[in-house]
Amino acid sequence: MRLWAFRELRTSAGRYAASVAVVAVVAAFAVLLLESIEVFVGVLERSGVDGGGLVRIALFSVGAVFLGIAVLTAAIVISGTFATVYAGRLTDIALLRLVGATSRQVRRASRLDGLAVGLAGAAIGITAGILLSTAAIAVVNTAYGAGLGFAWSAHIVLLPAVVCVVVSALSASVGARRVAVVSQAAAMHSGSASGLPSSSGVGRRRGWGIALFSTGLVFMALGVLAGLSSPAGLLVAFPGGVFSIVGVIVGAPALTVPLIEAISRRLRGGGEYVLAGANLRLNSVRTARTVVSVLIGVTLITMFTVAGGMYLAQLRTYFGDQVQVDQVAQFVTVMLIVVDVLTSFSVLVAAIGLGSNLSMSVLQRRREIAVLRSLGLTAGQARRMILAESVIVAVVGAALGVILGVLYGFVGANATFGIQGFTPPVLSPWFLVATLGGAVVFSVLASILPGHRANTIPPAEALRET
Amino acid sequence: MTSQTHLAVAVSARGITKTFGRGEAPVQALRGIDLDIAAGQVTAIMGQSGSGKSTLLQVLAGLDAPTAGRVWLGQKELTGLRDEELTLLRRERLGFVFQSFNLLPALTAAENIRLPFLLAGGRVTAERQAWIDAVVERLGLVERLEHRPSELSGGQQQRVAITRALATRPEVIFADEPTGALDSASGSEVLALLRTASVEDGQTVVVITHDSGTASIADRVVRMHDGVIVDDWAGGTAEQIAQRVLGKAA
Ligand SMILES: Nc1ncnc2c1ncn2[C@@H]1O[C@H](COP(=O)(O)OP(=O)(O)OP(=O)(O)O)[C@@H](O)[C@H]1O
Ligand SMILES: [Mg+2]
Repeated sequence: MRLWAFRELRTSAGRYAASVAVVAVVAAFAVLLLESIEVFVGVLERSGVDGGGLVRIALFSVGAVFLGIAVLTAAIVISGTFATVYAGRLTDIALLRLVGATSRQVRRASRLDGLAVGLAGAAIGITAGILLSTAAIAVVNTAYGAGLGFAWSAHIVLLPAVVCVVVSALSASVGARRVAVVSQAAAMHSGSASGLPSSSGVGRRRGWGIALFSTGLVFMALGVLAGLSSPAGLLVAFPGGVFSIVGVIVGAPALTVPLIEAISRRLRGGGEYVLAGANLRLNSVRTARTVVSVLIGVTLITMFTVAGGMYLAQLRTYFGDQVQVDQVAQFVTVMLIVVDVLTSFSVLVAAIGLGSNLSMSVLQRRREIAVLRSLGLTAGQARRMILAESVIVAVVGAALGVILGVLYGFVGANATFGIQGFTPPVLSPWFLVATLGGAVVFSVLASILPGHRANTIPPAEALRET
Repeated sequence: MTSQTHLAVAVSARGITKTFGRGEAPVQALRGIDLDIAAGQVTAIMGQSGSGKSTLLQVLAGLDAPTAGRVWLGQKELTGLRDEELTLLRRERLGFVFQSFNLLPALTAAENIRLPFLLAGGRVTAERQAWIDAVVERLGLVERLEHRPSELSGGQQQRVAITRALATRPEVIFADEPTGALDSASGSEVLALLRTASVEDGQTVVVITHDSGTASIADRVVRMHDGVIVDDWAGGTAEQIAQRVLGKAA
């Protein structure tokens, strides 16, 4: 079993490239974050300011939230990759099951793969993170003459390494789970990997999703009401936010399929767009996973932008245009930029995930694409088919993210400072343009390589058996 | 024009060779093939595994370029065409039936049948739709049109694939072991359909097969061995074909 895992790992190393990249980004992010906190706290302590420990804890908590979000997005990408890779090996696995491998053994093999991915990603990411931190410190030093030094500390390396390896192994195991439990007979039967059990759970997930989301809405509404009399409204609204986002993630397939259907039916042109829509619908669970990974990042950025904008708007109506307000405004703006930078790591992870998902689906559909090419799908059409899949997923994710982000920002702001008056949500049209435009640009870029790959498949492959 | 030459040539090939791989161990899959496929006939290509049947089909159908030699579809030379032109030509003038059906899992049977029109981005004309409906009726698929391929039996899937190939009224239908994955009853049914298409609609069919029963529907049988054509005759019953193949092979 172990031998099989290693052999397979070597032959399919290329398919794990995106997972390794995602882990590396998370590891680098973690190192940067931890190092910034160390350096910052170090400066505070040296300048004799009290409460360095407290600041460290506060910063560490904020850092943990953003790291957690990046890790969550990475876990979605990694488990998705593993689900696809293992689905492609369905016959191999069925054969192993046939000769007596238990489903536990198959999952153990996947954890081994995950471990390798985690180690490779962590090694690359930590190295990159240390180099980036050193470079950043050097830049700050030359710009401000700050005379900062690299703050060495064991946890800067250990924490990212442990987090990355554990998360990779777990996500790999989760991703392979559905395949590992496949019965021998069923696996031998399904000629193509698309025969995976997928849409069966969609109905149940929709039920759970709606229940969680509604519960979340109730809490958020109560939070806003409570916020009118006390800033503690946030304590009521926050669990509501968590409930509702979990509801969205759980119910995502039921939510995204009709949206995608509506969009792909509206795209005029050749059949490539209809095909793109059909592909996305067939793999509704995988599609939903990709939509969610885009959605999370966009929701966060929108939420902070909306809440920040509302806060500023309220300050202005409260104090009028005074110098004092300008200073606060500047501070809030800087904070928003910092938040955006932190969140952009999870957006980067989502973009890699998008590209990886497309590549995987091209790999999985080699034969299908060869058939289409032999029946008359031109190279340009093949590229546009992949492009459409990418753009539709990203735009749906971004649009849902903006809607949720506005909701959360609005609820969060009113639950916190509603006591000073109820504020409507604030969203600049530029933000909307930038977010949706960004989603389109990212998704176009993500589709280039997979689209090219699709066109390297010889049409003659349609005739080749197995 | 004499009575012997009244059959137009649908596909012709001259001096075809095909070599896979280079350097150490190149495989010569085709070693000099000259062949004219008559329009409106069923031509069967037989031969042992690895004799080059599929490779020849790919070259004749513009799916792969030969290493040397020239191929024509009617008056149009295929060799030297750009990928785009070849693709459009396959879409508009050729039909394919594969051993493993190769329907798109994401599309229903009806959508799979309309796939060639979908790719062309045009509307299906009323006349064309009437033709498709007639074929669907004849192949007994009316009840199955809204089903996905995964909900159909092998025989039904292959009938959908044949309808898809017939839908555009292509000049030539290429079929690579169309009954290879079917039980003998579904297999015979599929062959009868191809035969009917040829007899009633004048459809040109090129079919690869291992099986002398399958070859018995052909107007002509071509036998390949080791990349060359070693025998070429008017076919016959399954027994006659089997005997001739065995006799030659011995
Ligand atoms: N893409 C390829 N790369 C390398 N060699 C190939 C390729 N395709 C075919 N061959 C080789 O060319 C030869 C002819 O193959 P081909 O598939 O045409 O045979 P066939 O007559 O169709 O056999 P079968 O009855 O088993 O389908 C074989 O030796 C095969 O290994
Ligand atoms: Mg063959």
